[in-house]
Parts: sequence; structure tokens; C-alpha cells
Amino acid sequence: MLRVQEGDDSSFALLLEKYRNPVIHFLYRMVQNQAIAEELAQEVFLRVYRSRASYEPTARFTTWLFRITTHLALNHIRDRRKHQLLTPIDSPSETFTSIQLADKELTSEQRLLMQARLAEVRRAIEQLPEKQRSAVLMHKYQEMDYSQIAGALSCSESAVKSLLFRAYETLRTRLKHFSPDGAGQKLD
Amino acid sequence: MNCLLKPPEQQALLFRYLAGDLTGETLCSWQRHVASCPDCQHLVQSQENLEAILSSWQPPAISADFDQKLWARIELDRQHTQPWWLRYLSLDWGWRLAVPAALTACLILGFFVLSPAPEVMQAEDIEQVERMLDDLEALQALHPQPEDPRIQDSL
Repeated sequence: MLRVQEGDDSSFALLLEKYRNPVIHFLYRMVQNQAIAEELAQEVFLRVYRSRASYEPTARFTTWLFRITTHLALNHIRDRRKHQLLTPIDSPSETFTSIQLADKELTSEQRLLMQARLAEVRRAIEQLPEKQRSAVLMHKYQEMDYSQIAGALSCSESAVKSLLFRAYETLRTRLKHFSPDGAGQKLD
Repeated sequence: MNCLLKPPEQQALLFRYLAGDLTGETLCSWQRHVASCPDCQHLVQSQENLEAILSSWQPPAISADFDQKLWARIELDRQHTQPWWLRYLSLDWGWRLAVPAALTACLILGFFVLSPAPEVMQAEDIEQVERMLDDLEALQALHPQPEDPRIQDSL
């Protein structure tokens, strides 16, 4: 980032290469729509580029990046809620197509089962309060530690522990009827 | 719940255990505790199940033109935010040379167009000179000059 600050565009390209997928995947799981996730990710990287001159390496770059990302995602979720345009889950046909492409050997019954399971996982995460959802997604999928999550969410580490405790407890309860053996399949 | 561990402490140890971060004596004491605590056994089992379920949710592939779109937005943003002279400096070399060349040409042209024209006699002046010549001619007619004797000799 310091090299980007000096006007080195190739270093920004390297940052983009490294963080593109984590940022888009996090946003996808937050807003549950791929097109919106990519649009928000564009805004994230544009803000990073714009702020390069004022960037101060007081925290880890990942923490700073995810603070911007979370802020944009939460703003989007609030706006969407405000305008009553809740379209949280991609169309079933899209999901079904991606499952078909990913697992051609599955029977249609298995595919339907996986589709239902996926919808339930997404719904369970979507129903978590905003901060709990952000904390779980960063902890589970981005493998960020407590201090990084605390930095990204602008709260204390003990608050993060509490958020994660409550979030995982809720998820364990909501998804307890799933057997672990059927969960090994990767779903898109 | 009969476990002696407090929930946040229990969960912190659980996460570290599942992430493989527990080592040495901490790992041994955790394993001893789980072996004797049905609550923690249940917690470990249900968290492992949850982790497996959550891992099954993978996002779709990212658009191939994501980077291209981003660079286009950055370029557009640069053009809107930079002062004109910085925008000029970021142009190609061909343009950078063409602009001063055009400016020099304009200056040269301006010099010729705006420089003062050579003095031209006004119509009044011409008329005055003509009148003076006429007067001289009239005077010569009134007082003719004696002939040059050298010319007469030669004739």
C-alpha cells in the first residue's frame, strides 16, 4: 500500500489480485447477490485507490480494507431495507444451474436437497443481526482473528468474542437438523 | 449446563481447538475436559457440524471483466478529480509535444498579426505634396531660369 501511495499502479494491481476474491466473496455472503457484491467491491477498491494519499499504516491493511468493505455492505443492506427492495437470495434458477454445473453426478433429488440446504444456510446467516453476520463471515470465511475483526467493526475484542458467541449459538440452533455427512459438498 | 467453563472462555478454547491452535498443556487439559464434560462434547460436535455446513456455501465465480471495469472507473475518477495540468501531464508523449508546438505556432502568428504595420502616407499628405509640386511648377513658369551656357555651347 505504501508503494501505491507513491503512485505505483502496478502495486495496486498486486493488491487487487490478492484481495479481489476475499472482498467479493465477503460481500456476496453479506448481500447475497453476486452482481451487487461486485458493484460494491468496485466501490471498495475505488475508495482504497482514492484514499491512497491519506493512508496511514496504523493498522493492518486487511483490517482497513475490511472496515471499508463492511461499512459499504452494511450501508447497502440498510438502504435496501429502507426502500423495501429486499431481494436477498439469487433466483433459484441461477442457483440450480450452478449446482448442475458443479455436480453433474448428483441425482436430481440430491440436487434439490442440496439446494434446500443451501437456501437454509443463507437464510440463517441473513437473519443474523448485521454485526454478528459481519463477525461470523470474517471469522469463518476470511479467517481473521479477533483483533482484526474488532478493527474492521470498530469495536473491542471482547465485543467481538461476544458477537461471535451469540452468532454461532444461533446458527448451531438454526442448523442443528442438518447432518454433517451431507454438508461436505461444495455449493455455489 | 454443568460445564465449569464460562461460555465465552469455552468458545474461545473451542475455536482455538478447531483451528488447531491449541498445543502442549492447554491442548491436553482441553481434551481431558472434553472427555469428561458432556456439554463440551456436544458443543464440539455441533460446532464441527456447523463448520462443515457453512463450508458448503461457496460463492459463484467472479466476472472475468471485473478488473477491466475497475481500471476504467479509476481512470474516469482520475480525470474528474485531477487538475487540468496534471491531466495534461498524464497524456501520451505525442500529445505532450503537440500542444507546445501548437502554442508556439499561435504565438508566432499572433506576433505577425498584432505587430504595428509600416507607416503609409495618408490621402491628405499626398494631396498636400501634389499641391506643393503644382505651386513650384507655377513659380517656375512665372520666373524662367536662364539657360545653362554649357548646354548652349554644346549645341
